[in-house]
Amino acid sequence: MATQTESELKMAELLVEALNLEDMEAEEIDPEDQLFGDGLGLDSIDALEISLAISKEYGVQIKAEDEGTREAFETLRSLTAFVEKNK
Amino acid sequence: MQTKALKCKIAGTGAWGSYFENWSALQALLGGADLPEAKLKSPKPGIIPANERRRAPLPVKLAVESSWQATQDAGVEPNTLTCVFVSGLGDTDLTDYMCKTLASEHKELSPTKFHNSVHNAPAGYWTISTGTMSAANSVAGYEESVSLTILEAMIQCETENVPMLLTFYDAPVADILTPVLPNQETFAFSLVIYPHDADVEGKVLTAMVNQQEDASWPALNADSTYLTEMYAQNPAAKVLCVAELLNQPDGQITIPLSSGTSLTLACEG
Repeated sequence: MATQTESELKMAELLVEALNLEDMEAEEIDPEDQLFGDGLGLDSIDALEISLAISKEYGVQIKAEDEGTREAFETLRSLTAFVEKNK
Repeated sequence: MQTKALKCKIAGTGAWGSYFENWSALQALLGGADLPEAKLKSPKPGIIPANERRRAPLPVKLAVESSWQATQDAGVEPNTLTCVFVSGLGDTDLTDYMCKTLASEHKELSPTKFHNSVHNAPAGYWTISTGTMSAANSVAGYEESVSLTILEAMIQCETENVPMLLTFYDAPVADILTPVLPNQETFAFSLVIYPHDADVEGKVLTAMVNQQEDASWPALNADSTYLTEMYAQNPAAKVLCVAELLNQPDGQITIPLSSGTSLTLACEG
């Protein structure tokens, strides 16, 4: 698995808590794995929960219609980079 | 007031609480067994798909686990039963969350928590998990939750001539509400009932509505501080007096139904 940066670990902790991921530690999320579908197996409700948690924690709004939202949600790495860039 | 007696047959039982994982463990406690050392936190009902289970709050997991056990005990397919679910308190953690969030600067609610906050969330998780297309009712009646639910289910069982699932559940109350709702215990109990003339094994339960002012809940026979306090403070655990009735060969109890009525339950067989 690829190594997590400090900010990726913080984002992984937010995902585990916001989504109540059963039997999964933040350190176990591969920053290059797909978050949705085959990878972590998240779904559309999770996307809403992630947007809400990021808005409360980082003050960054993620809008469904924005360009770049799909890319931002691909992996832990892309999501962390998107938030770092927009906060 | 003279009413017709309702009759049904009890074919299956399920139970879950901090010190019992099933009906036989609860029966042991009712019979005077010591409390186990370890306190259980939450059931993990395997019938809820993993992606839904991680979103399920404690009251949902309690209700689904206990319901599942009762259907297994009765040897019945869970997707064939009409259901009545009841909680006297609802999910006070979610009530507290919603109130706090809506009173704060950032008012956006978690869609999952909002979805789970409705009173029929446990019935919804159950019907989706089992794939049942049968009706599922969700009752709330605070201190009279148990008696109202038994009456509702027995009426449906007799008039529709169908087996029913009854599930009683209440979780510990959020800290801020404990001055008015002191319950800190976790409790769930389920029954599968059949029309009284169905060809299944089980004790026959008879219910009769009486005109009676100020009926009160009968004292439990069990000599257990844990059970007695839970019986007093957890509205769903009021069903413990019915559990004791089922645990004995024959007997009768009268329980409050409303301010002017009571319900007499008798068990044979």
